[in-house]
Amino acid sequence: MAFEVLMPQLGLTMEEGTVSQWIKHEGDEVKTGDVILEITTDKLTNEVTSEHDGVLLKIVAQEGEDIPVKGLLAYIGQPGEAVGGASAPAAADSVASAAEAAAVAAVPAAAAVSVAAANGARIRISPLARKTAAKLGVDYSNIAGSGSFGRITQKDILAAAEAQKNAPAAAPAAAASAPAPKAGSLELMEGDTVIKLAGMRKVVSQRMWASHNEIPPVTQNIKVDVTALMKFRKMLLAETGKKYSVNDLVLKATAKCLRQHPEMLVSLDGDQIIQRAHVNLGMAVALDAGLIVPVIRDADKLSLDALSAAAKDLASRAKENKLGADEYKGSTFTVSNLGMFGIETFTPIINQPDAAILGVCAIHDELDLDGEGKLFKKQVMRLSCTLDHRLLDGSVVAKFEMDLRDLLEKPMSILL
Amino acid sequence: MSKKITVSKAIGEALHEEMVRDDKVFIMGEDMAVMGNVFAITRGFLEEFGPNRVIDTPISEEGFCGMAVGAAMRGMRPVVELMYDDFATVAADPLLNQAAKMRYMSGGQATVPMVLRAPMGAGRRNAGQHSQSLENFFCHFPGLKVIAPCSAKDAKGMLKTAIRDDDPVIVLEHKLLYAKKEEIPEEEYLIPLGLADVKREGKDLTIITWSREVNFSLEAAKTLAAEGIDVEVLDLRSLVPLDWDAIVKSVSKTHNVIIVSEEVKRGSYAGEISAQIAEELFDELDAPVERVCGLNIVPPFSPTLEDENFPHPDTIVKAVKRVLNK
Repeated sequence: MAFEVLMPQLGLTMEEGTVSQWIKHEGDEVKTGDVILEITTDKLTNEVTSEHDGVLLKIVAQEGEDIPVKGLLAYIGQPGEAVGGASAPAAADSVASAAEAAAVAAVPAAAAVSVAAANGARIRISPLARKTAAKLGVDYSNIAGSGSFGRITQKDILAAAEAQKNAPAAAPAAAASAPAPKAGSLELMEGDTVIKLAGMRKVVSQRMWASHNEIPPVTQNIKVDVTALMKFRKMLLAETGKKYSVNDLVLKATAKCLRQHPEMLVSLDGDQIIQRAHVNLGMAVALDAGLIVPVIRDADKLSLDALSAAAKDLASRAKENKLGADEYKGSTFTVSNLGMFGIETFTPIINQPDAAILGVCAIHDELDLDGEGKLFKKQVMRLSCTLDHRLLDGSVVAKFEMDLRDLLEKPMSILL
Repeated sequence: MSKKITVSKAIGEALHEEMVRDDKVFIMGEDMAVMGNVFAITRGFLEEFGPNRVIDTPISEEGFCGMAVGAAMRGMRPVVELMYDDFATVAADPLLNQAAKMRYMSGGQATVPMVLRAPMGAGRRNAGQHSQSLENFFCHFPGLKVIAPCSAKDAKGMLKTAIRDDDPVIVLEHKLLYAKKEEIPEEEYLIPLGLADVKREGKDLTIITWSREVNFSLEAAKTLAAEGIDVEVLDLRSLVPLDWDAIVKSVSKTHNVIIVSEEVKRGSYAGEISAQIAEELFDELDAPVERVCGLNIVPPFSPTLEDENFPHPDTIVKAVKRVLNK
């Protein structure tokens, strides 16, 4: 009997994954533990390993396809074996052929397969119905079962799939509501290549689009004299032997300043405003494949040392694709640093559901006049803070920025 | 061309044809010769084939089963009858330790081409020691083939194949099937062992069954059809070897299963099949597999109680509806 290779669930909130690359190909021999394919989930790349010995009989989900959790990816079995069930009639009789299943599964991002009812109780569902739900991408958490003891049967899943098909516009999640302009409407010019929007790029695309369209943004730039900060950094190095980056100091100052400005830590949820209790700092990290924002939890409670270590650890693991799915969730404010690229100011896009984002820009020398009209040199850095004007007003954020500037200009107090 | 004869006559025809065909075939058992068998299966055989090939034995199951094993090892093809399958316990060693294992233990030097016919089943008010269905008992032992046909046609065609088989075959014959008259082909035919037969096609639920319960299941299917429930009746006919492909095919179509047998439910072969389905076909199931069997009791003599102790058409109808929640 051929075994199904299914999309794994990596982390509680994962709903679907994209097949990024097949390492094994149809006909290849596979052993338990062999890497069969790579999938990209919500911003991470993961390897899927085989749980069986045999031959990769059939690849159902092609590279670039989005497959819901528990959705069918491939079959592993013995050479020459029929797939889709233990015998040919089984395959013929199942509700959807593998190819159909893949096609259907690719459609609804909102139709993630649930495993627990809204109240967290175990759902009574037959094995066949569960398999069918996975194939068709049907969420069965709210289906009333028609079997004995309220068990959900295949018939119930087929009915739900039918209903889902007839009501495709049913409340898609915010992140998934990005417009899907019809592919193929652009005229190709000589030498152009076509790449499917998938994986991390697709997630970034959807989230940025959603944020930009939903939020009325204002970006306010403030200039910070970092001459003292740079000296302070050197002093720390001389006295402790530890090299702290400008980013470490900015993160530490921001966390401290946010604690003094809780009005910055809010989220909009329909007609409710949520006052966030924690200073969870999102930290934008650029990767080859896109962008990811790991979160430093309770950053205001961390010492400079701990904060610096956490930032370094998250950034390096993000680059190696080793972040846990829950390590880039739950930010309440985000910092995006483009200073190392020489960017002087920019207009960062808010990382929802945060209410604001701080852009950190490059440090450069400026000339200024002192009280006596004498020229002197100083080092300056601009901060570009974008705010969600539905939640925050310019003056409120200006006060936060001024306090942050003052903190950075008297760097000793960052550590107090 | 076909003819209508009783199941017992069909079995008699199988024995007769094989004895005529092959003079190594002989029959042996209690009341098989002079009386011509308690179910009149071998009436006239003694006159036709003589006392060397139609042998009356004393009440000594262990002895004559042992004789049969020895004769089979020497190239004869004995067809032995236990008057009731219950008596297999008396003959446990020759059947289960010798016949079943001889080919393996001798490294293939000896085979045991014997047939043991064992009338079984409840419903004749024969009480605790003469009414059992012991499928599980025989099926447990590797080395034995076990068949339990229901129809006259299957009974004849499979017994002939069993006699020609080089390994020991247990033929379970339900006592209350013997008198049933059914159409069978006029001409000679064989039915291979190890093949189930779909006695009725359906799409909503599979009834896996054998022997007399096939007839009850078909009756139940008729009642259910009138209510819009379309069940498939899969007659296993052969318990070992089991036609697993037929089970896979049917279960993958209907996704709901009950297994009907007259056995004591606890430790039954029905339970073994249920377990195999749960292991191999879990993802095809839309409801738990239900065993519809006898109770976990000694077969009662009282007619009222005995009739409660094996599945009837109405028991089967209820089980089907329970599984389908209808």
